[in-house]
Amino acid sequence: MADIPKAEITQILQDWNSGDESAHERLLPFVYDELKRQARRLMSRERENHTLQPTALVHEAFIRLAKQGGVEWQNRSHFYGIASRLMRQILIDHARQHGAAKRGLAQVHFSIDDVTVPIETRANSILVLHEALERLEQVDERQAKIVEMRFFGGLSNSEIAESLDISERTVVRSWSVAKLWLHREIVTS
Amino acid sequence: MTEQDREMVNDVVADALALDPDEREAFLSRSELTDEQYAEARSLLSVADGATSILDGPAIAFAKDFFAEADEDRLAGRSVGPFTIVRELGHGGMGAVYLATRKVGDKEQRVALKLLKREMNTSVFRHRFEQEREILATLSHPNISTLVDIGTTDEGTPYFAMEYVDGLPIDEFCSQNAYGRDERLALFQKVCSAVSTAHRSLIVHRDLKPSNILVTADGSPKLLDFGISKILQDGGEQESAATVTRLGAMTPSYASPEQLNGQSVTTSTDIYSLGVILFELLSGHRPFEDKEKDLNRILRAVAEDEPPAPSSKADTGEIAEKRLPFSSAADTSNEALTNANSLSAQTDSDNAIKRRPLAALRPQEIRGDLDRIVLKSLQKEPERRYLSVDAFNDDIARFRDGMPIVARPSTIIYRAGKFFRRNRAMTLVGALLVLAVLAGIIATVWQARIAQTERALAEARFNDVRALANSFLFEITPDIERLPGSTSAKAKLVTRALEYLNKLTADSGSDPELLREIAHAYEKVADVQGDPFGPNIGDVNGALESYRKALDMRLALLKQFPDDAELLSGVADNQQKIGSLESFGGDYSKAVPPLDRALELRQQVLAKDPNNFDFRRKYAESIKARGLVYFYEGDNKVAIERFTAAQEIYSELLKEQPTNDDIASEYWYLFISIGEALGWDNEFDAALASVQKGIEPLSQVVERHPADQFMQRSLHLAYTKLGTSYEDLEKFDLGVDAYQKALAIAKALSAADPTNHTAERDVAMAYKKLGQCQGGAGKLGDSHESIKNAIAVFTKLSGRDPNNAEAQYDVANTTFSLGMTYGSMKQFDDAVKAFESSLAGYKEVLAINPTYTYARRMNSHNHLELAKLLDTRPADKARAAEQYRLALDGFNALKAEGKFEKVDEPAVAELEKIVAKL
Repeated sequence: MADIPKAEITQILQDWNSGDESAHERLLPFVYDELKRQARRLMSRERENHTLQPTALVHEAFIRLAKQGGVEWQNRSHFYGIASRLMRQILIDHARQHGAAKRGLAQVHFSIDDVTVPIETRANSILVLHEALERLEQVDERQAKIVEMRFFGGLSNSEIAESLDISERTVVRSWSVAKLWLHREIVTS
Repeated sequence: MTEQDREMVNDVVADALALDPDEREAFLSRSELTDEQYAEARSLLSVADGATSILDGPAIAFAKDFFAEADEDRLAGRSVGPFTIVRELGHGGMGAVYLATRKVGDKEQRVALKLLKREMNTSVFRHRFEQEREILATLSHPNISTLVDIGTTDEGTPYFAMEYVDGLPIDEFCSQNAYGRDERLALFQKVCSAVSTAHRSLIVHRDLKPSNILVTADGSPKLLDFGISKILQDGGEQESAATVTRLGAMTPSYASPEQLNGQSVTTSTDIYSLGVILFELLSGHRPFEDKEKDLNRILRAVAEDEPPAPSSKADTGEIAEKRLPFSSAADTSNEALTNANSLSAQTDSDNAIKRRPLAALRPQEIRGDLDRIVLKSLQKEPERRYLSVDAFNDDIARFRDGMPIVARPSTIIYRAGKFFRRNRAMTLVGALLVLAVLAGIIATVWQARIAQTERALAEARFNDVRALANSFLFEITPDIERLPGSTSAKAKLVTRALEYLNKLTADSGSDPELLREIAHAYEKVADVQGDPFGPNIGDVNGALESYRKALDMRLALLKQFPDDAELLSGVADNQQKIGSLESFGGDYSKAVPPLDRALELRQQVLAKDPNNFDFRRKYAESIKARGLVYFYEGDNKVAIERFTAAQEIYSELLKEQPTNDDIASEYWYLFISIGEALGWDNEFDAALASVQKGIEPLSQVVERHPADQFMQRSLHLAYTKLGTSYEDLEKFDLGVDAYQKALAIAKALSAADPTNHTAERDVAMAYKKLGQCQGGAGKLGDSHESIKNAIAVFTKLSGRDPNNAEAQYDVANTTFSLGMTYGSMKQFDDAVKAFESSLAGYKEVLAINPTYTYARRMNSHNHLELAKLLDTRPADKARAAEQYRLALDGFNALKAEGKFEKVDEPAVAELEKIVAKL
């Protein structure tokens, strides 16, 4: 797997730290590669080891990139938001490739450990969820963001709180309501 | 519902969720929600039935299978522009590559379709993609996969279609076809030629690896994926950051140190990657394969570890086992077929690090030159690798042809250099011993080469010899350069070295390091052949030829390294020596341009480093050399000006290094040169004063260096000029003393080294001047004797170099002096004979070089003297008149060309009177 060019990463991170907002755009390809690397690593694991730390993926991506850049990088929270969005994009694209043909009734109510659910079904489910989340964005942007960071980004409540500059309690409460909203949206659509 | 409404609902719902499910309904009723808010809250809570949900875990866990099957044919059947995707061939950082087809007339065209992944459809990637499209469109080579089409999908995703290559990665191809050494090398050479074409278009591949080099069934390699290549732009500062490679798409196993360090990438990067590929093709391994499992270790190894020789990697049991499956072609033909149509075809895989089953050659097939070739391409510093892929390719071609290669281990020359440096005091005998050993080894090596036996060993030894010979030239020659008696040893060395250099030059390709060495070696050889100011073996034409070879090489190198001070200085050295040699030949029109060029270059170099001692010293040297030509041409005032300018520089240098006797001798000698020019300007008293001012300090300096030929000679010349100054003032006895001192030094130098041409000429010249002065002092017998000695030596010298106008002039001019002496001795017939002989000599000189001003002038004097002699006998009046006219015509011609010497004025005035009366 490809590694990341240190010099470039360093430059981008420094730019970002010094307030260059365009830097995150330049960082995207590297975050993408990193997230994908993490995802591929997961794939090679034994099935029994599914129990994932929710934060592992984006966390590790951040730690690796920061290390590669060799700078004290303050923009952790900003990074989490971007990484989560990217992760969502990655997953949705992969899901599209698997379940593009069949759409329709989606099942959301199955365990992530249920290996009997066919891949197409799961792909469809995640696509439907994605579309529902797009609608939630129209209604309540912050809730949608929280879902994106928690579900797609795998971030902890405290990380989300820090990232969005809200209390952790607000995150927990918003998350619980957003889940309901999405469930209802999927079931009724 | 307003935002506030929603917040109210969310609050209540969140609170309700904290309660038991059956308490929620009551809780809702108690809340102060509007009807609308109440309905919404209730609706939301109705789906909170406690069942598991995909939202309970992170999406990645839920979706991980997506990645497991991501490489499968997920886009099969999809249309992209005019193409239909058949299946995925591979994917990389940039995008996926698919086998796709389209109808062209009745035929189905197969292409490798590279599609930018939708999720990477950012401006950054778009930009890179656009770049790649443009680059590919400019490339056309049978071994580079051609661009078929470019476009965007309906969704706006860019794609490009390349010629589909149904082939195997180069290493697998070699395995499947049980390729031997020569076949592998031939195949690799084709790859080099393709890469070279790209380089000529300023395109660096940056990601060369076996999976990017597919070989079709007919054995043609095709280079794929210029995905990260970028047009190198000349010196664009803003480009330098961009040309730093994106490791994101690089495979560390084949990446160069500069790529991994994030330094700028040049064509040399591809040379490194090609080196790794050749390493693998030969040995079945990559240089740092054992460290590839750990990214940090491989990165460190590429940056720091010396790569092993490929032959050392070929010698493993593992490979011996792997050879077996491929020893039987029948068993593997099916496997080969399968592979050809599977993922390995046109792959753009990230998994290129996987071990491929390539059978190694036997270590003895690689050891020696192939090891050296590979290791040269794997040097850490780009500038120490082959200069170009062509040079790399050429060296492989030379190896295949059984010719000596250019790549050679730097360690040997380093070690040899160190050895010689430690033994600076090495005597001439020691040096000759080394030379003899070298000659022996070279002979042995060539015999071995002719026999084609033990070739690898022979070539290895040849390279060692080359390194040793280099050390010999560079380390020993300076040590023996100024020892008297070393000239013939140096002549032997020159003969050997020239043979050897000519071979080297033919084989050197374009390796700048080697070319520099060869240029330096030619210069050294030229110095020995005929250094204009130093001891030499008198081969002026050979020297000119060697200086010109050195000059041509340096000029060629200068095109690549236009600001290299060492090269500029070297070019100036060569130009200056060529100019000086030409000036000694009397052809000033050929002497002036190189001398002026040398001066220009010296200024240029000095401007970059104005305090550099050596540059200042060489600048002074060039000013002096140019001044000498002004002097030879009779422009004495300008010459004096130049000499004074040079002297000022030497004076400053001497203040910085008061004990530097080389500088001191130059400084003091310039008083002699200035005196000589003053003398020619008829300033006889000033001339003598200047020479006297210089000669005493000079002799003190020279005394400290009894074995230094160069310094001894300068003192000899100084005494000669002193003699001339006395002679000009008609102090003949003092003149004779001075000339005798000059003669003694010249004889000593010549006796110490009978093959030293310059010393021999100096002896002749001293005899001649002594004889003339003795004539002036009235010692006619001594004079006759001295001049006869001079003629004998000059004749011997001119016979050695018959096309040298100066040597012929010496004979003619001395014969003229002999005529004068006979005239003084009243030996009329002998005198006429001598004058006629000298006139014939001048005629020859002017045939060689018609613009030899000094010869023309002396020729006129000769006519005049002969005329005066004939005029004394009534029977020869007519002959005399003819000679007078020839003399006057000659002087008038010089006058018309502005080349008239002031000293000749009295003679010409007399002539005019005589001719007018005729």
